[in-house]
Amino acid sequence: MGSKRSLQPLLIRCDRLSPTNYTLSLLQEGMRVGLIGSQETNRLQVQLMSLLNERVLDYTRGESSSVRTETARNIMLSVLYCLDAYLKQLDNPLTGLTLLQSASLITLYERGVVEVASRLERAKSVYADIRSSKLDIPLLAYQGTIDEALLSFLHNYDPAYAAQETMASIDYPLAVPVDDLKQTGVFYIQTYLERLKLENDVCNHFSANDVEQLLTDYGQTYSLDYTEALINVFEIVVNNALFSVISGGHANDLLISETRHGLVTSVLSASNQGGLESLANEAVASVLSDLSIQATQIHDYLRLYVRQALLPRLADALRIGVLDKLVIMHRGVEQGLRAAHFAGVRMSDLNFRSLIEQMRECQNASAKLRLIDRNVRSVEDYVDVLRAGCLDGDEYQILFAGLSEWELAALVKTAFAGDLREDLLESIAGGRLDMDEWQTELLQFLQGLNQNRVGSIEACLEALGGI
Amino acid sequence: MSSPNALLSVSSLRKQTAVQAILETNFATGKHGLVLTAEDAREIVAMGNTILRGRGRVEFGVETLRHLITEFAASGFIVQDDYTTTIVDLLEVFYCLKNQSEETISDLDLITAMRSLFEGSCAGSVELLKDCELDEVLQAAIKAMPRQARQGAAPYGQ
Repeated sequence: MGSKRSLQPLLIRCDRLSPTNYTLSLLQEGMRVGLIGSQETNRLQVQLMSLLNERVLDYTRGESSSVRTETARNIMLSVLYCLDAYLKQLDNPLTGLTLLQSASLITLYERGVVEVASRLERAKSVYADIRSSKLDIPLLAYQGTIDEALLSFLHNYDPAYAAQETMASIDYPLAVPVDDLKQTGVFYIQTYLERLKLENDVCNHFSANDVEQLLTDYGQTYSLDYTEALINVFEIVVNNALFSVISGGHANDLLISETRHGLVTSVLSASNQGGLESLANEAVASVLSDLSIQATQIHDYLRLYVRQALLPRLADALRIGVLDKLVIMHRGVEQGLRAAHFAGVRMSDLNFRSLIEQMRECQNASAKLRLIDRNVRSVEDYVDVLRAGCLDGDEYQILFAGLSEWELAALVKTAFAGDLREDLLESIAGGRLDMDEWQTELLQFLQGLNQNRVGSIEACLEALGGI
Repeated sequence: MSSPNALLSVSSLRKQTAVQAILETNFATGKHGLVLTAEDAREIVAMGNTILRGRGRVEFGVETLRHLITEFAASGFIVQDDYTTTIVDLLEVFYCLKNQSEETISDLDLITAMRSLFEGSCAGSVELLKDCELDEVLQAAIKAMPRQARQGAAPYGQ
């Protein structure tokens, strides 16, 4: 009999142990392999209910022996979470089963509470590091998650009655997300914080200006206001560092020119799955060496990111033909204008008159805007159309909203030539008293933009020699 | 013992313990001419669990039940003929008010307040007690409290 029992531990299957319901699944597995009998199960159940009873009375400060079902369920989950916290960190499941048989459940719970408290302290310490190394970028989800959501979690986390809860508005996505089906509560937050810290550490190896410019380039590539987007900075930065290395540059050259963009996309396009993997692995080694990164944790995280996120994304991008968008290109002045609608030639007078006539006949705004979009290819024609007075207030606003930063910069330069100084809005508003309707509308539109977008327009304007 | 929900389902008034606790109240209530049989006790436990499920609550002890029985047994309005039904009705009122009060009143204070209203404005009618507004019950509870306890503590769980 004794020899039979000693063989049974081999039958415990770790894949049957639930990461979020560890204690109960361990007991079930113990019962399945015959290590835990029904008598022991009953004893543990009685102990668990007694522990729950004690926790509920503690919760109600002894004033009520009943609670809402939801409250009881949460307290029960919190008790089980603490038991899981202790049993999971033991060297193997068998040790856990042995302890469940020999020690009282209350003792194990108390050890779990200590483990949870220690995790919380570690999480607070990592959070302090993150605060001090936070990137200075105007990315709302990033700043909000660090300054508000994580802080609020760490302040409000309740290990006593809701240890399993991960109630926090964590909007900022990690490059390698934490699996919330496997981790909850402080364990989830600790992993999230540790990964975020590694991501910050990597990003801090690059010039802050380059990172911000890269994000602006990203916004232009995907025609979005990056400050409000749910994007991961580490991913964008690391991708371009890897692509820079692949194109023969230094990891620090985050801003990839059109020529290098062409080079890297052609190299990647010519690779098969195995080739991509070895290219990426070699690039990771070069990036780590270029940036003199020694920390093993960063090495591991970078490789994990490449394996779990970048390689599948590269394969998808190649398959659907959007690789050129995965490699973020830095648009200088020429490329910027080429991407805009204003790089073409002026229309003939005849065509211009015909366009204006068609616009006057249009019954709705969208038809007018479609005509402009299809026919106007130079900023001069654009301004002439605006001057022709075929649009009303709302139509101006819709039209301007469809323009990129480069297009707006070119339009502003033409519209307010001579008045422009470093503070764009102030110089326009203060410099002109006799504005046409379309100029007033343009000013109103610009005044309605967020500071970051105005900053991008100013940067384009500066590059165009407008300021 | 597979899930937290399954565990909670066995936590409400556990039959044997609760029946025993109810029968023990007979020592105190006998002097008022009120006695519950084992069958009455089982009925109270069964109905109590139904009420708890209906009200979305879980009960972790028998002291409250015991206290409610002995407190009301002292009332002249309770008679043996409908003793069991009255206790079940009082349990219904009790758990309903516990939910309404959002955990701002303790079990003992609530039972005291219910008894006070039952003896006073309700004139021994459980039906009238059921119709009492929460504010009325809370006022009765405050009146029944010792002066220093009236300062009020925060609801638990906050």
